[in-house]
This record gives sequence, structure tokens and C-alpha cells, in this order.
Amino acid sequence: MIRVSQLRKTFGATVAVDGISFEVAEGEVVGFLGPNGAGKSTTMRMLTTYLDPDAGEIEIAGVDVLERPIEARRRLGYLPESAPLYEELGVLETLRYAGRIRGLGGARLRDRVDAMVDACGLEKVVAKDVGELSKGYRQRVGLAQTLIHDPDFLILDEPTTGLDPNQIREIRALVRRIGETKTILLSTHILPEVQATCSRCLIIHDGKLVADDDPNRLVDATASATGQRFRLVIRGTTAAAARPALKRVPGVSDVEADDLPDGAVAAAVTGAGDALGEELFRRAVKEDWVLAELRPERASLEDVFRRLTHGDEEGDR
Amino acid sequence: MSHVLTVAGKEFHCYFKTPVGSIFLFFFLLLCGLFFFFVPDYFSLGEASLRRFFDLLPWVYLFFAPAVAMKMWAEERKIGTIETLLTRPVADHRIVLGKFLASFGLLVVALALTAPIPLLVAFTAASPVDVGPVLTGYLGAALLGAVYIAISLFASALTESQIVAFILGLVLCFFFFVIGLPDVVGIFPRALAEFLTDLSLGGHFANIQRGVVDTRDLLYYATMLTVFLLLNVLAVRRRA
Repeated sequence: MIRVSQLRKTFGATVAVDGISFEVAEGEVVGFLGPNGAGKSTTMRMLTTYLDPDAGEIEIAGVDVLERPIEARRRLGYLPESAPLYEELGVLETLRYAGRIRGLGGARLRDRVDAMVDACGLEKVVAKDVGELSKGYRQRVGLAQTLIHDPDFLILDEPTTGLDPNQIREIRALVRRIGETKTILLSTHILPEVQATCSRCLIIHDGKLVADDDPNRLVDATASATGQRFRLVIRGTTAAAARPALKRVPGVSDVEADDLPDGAVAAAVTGAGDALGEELFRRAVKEDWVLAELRPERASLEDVFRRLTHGDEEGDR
Repeated sequence: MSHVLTVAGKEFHCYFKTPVGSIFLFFFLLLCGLFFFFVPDYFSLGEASLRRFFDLLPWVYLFFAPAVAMKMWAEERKIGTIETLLTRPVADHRIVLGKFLASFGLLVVALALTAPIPLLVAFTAASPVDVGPVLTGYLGAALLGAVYIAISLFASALTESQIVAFILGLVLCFFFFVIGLPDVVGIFPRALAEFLTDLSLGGHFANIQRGVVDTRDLLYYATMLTVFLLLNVLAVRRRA
């Protein structure tokens, strides 16, 4: 269990983290989400004892991180942003050094290094130096050295930043596999990442926690707050005629409509009310349109994010 | 202790994983040899003494120590590995000590490689060379080098640029060496001059060179070493 309460950190006049509290239960994979500069890395650096907070408490597996940092570090694996590694060391040397400095030795060290090479798919690069590796492999070596002592708690700062889509998928799969047995807090500013890997997400903005929930529930909440969105493809009319007709449907607040090259009309309708879909269907019948498509669009985490982090603009609408 | 050795081992290994360590050693020996044998010409001097060798060591150290230590912390900060390093279950002072031992190890290797110089002097000397002062000379040189390294390591912990670390290390070492030179001390009032000589690296080195191993000198080196290693720990704790 990771327990953080009223954590605060300032750099000069800037408040980087402003009274954050949250908990991560054993076995959870929690996404830590926020724009760049929101305070994600600073929070993680405090959790991992790299930075001392100005105020607040951190507890990991019952260990007070501020009072017994070394004890806390034993239970943690931390992968800092962009997986910094020693360029001149070989892949195996890197893993052995990481193991040794964590007190592993002899057969146990050999076993762990082998296990990490296996788990992180490093077989092809064991003979190489870190400096020769691609970004994806570096990230894997970073993860491998983070996992070398088999920690129960993992703190991963933007583990997929700077990777190409294939590499992102691989790292995500790896994180998911690891997450089956461990407690993970991972930060990201890529939203699908959270939906793909996390059971819960914390959203941080300007040093404050603005949301703490299941990612899918957050999406639903956003949908009911900002309204539902439907996509339609209509035949037998033009965009110019469809626009005002759709606008008159009860509950509709916004309509976008365009003529498609094949003569159909593509429209996006935003509005409130549980029966919006039915109302749209009824309108189509009344106007004698052929409804080729009527599809509700789920609010994405992107929308959640926008709603939570730009509260002021949202209120203006 | 095993943590200290793990860190030291890795850092020492890194010196030789790339050509860097060998290049440092090469230039150290080149400078020592050049100045000892050719400036002025050793063979026309007609005097078989190692004094000049030990006299020039502090000057060669001025470049060698900051060079071997500059990378130690500056690079960790620059590429971000300092975060991984300092969040492992090892106390900061152990890591500082490990890095110190690695750099000091390289300096000891460098000193050991100068062995042909006293050997040559011994063979070419008309009268037998006294072994005692040579050994104490090397002991003094190692102690002096240790302090130079500690100062340079501290400089490296203050910045993320290796060049800045090198220059800062050089300036600090030069300062602590030069305040004890007779020409420099001469311009100060007597009381201050004595204090400066006591504080300087050079003054104590001169004693040991003469073959006198005084506990006061040893204590001085131990103090300087401790002070700069502690400063190093403090500098490392200054995170962001």
C-alpha cells in the first residue's frame, strides 16, 4: 500500500506539488496523469526519496519514507523519466551492477539477471553496450534494472515516452504482465495508456489532484456533464437542409454537418437527455431521411482531461 | 562496505571500458617524464636526485585530479542516472566514498607506473639512492593526490557540466596548493603567512618529502580529505 497525504513541494516561488493525497492499494496499477509540468515527476521523486517534500507524509508498505528512506528504497523500483542508463556499460553489466548495489550476489544475482533478460526480452542485445541500443531497448533495460530486486512497488515515470507505436505496445504489455503481481504507479501524459494499462487513474493539474477514479467511470461522468455525442450518416438530404432540422430536435445543443462525396451527409450532434438517440431517429423518419448510421460516441479520456484541467473555459460555454 | 566497493568497482571499470582512463594515465606519465628528464635536461644536470620528481607532482596533479574526477557527478546529473543511483538503498556517503576510491585508485595506478623513474635514477646515480625518502615521497604523493581527488570530486558534484567541474576543480586545487608556496606566502603578514602555510597542501607535502612522516601532516591530510568528502555528500544532497 502506498499512502500519500498532504504532500507539498515548492521550488522558489513555484508550487510544484500542492497538498496531494492519495492511496494505492496492493496489486493496483494506477495511472498518474497530467500535462507536462503538472507535478507528476516531482511527486514521484518524493515518493522515491530523491526529493524531500516541504510538507506531508508518505508511507510505503507501512514504512515511513521520510524517516526510513533506505528501508523504503528496498521495497521500491523506480524508473525515472527517459530511463537514464550508463552509456558505456554493457547490458549485462548494467543489470549486474543494479543487482549488486541492491545487495544481490552469487547464484541469486545470476538467476535474477537471467530472469530479467527473459522477462524484458533482452536476449538479442545481451552482448551490446547500452550506448548502442535503440530507445525501445533502452527502456526495456531500464525496466529490467528497476525490477532486478523483485520489488513489490514500482514507480514508473513516463515509461513509454519517445517510443514508436510498436515499442509502446511492447512496453505496455510488459507493464501489464508485471502488474499482475505488483503494485504500480505509472505516470504518463498519453491518455490511451491509462485506459490500456490502469485500473485507476489520478489526474493532477497545477500541483493539485483533480480526479481519482476508474478511467472508464471518469469518461462516463464527463459524458453526462458535457452531453452525449452522436455520429450520423444520412442519405436523401443535404447538409444545409439537415443542419436546421437536427438543431430542432429536443435536447440538441450543437450540430455539425458536412456533405460527403457520395451524396450522403455526415453529422455530429451533441446534446443532453437520455433519449437523444431515439429523438434523432424519430426526426429522421419524419424528414424521410435514410439513416445509414447512428452511433453514440463515448467521451474519451481526452475529453475528461480537458474538462478537468481547463475548468474555466468549460464554464464559459 | 560492500556497497562502497561495488560503486568503486563499477567506476574503476568504466575508466577502462572506454579509452578515457588510459588517456589520462598516458598524459600523466608523459608530463611527469617530460618535465623530469628534459626540462631541464636531467642527463646534463649530473645530479641523481628524485627531489625534482616529487616537486613537479603537485603541478601534474593539478590537471590529472580534476580530469579523472570531473565526470563522477557531473555526468550523473547530466544524463539523469543520479536519480537511479540515489534512490537505491545505499547511503549517500557510501556512494561518495566509492567514487572517491575509484578515482584515487586510478591515481595510485598512475603513481605506480612512474616507478621506472626512481629505478632509473637509482641505476644511474653515482652514490646509492636512499630508499627511505623515496618511499615516504610516494606516500606523501599518494596522500596529496587523495586530497586533490576529494577536492575535484566535490567540484564535480556542484555542476552538471564536466568542463565546469574540471575548471572548478583545478582552481580549487591550485588555490590550496599555491597558498603555501614561499613566494606567495611572502606577501602576507607573518601570522597570516604561517596560517596559510599550515592550511596549504604544499607545505605538508614538503615535510613528508624530506623523509619526515609527522602525525601532524598525516592528521592534516586526513582532515582535508574528510572535509571535502563531507562537502561532497552535502553537495550531492542538494538535489534539484
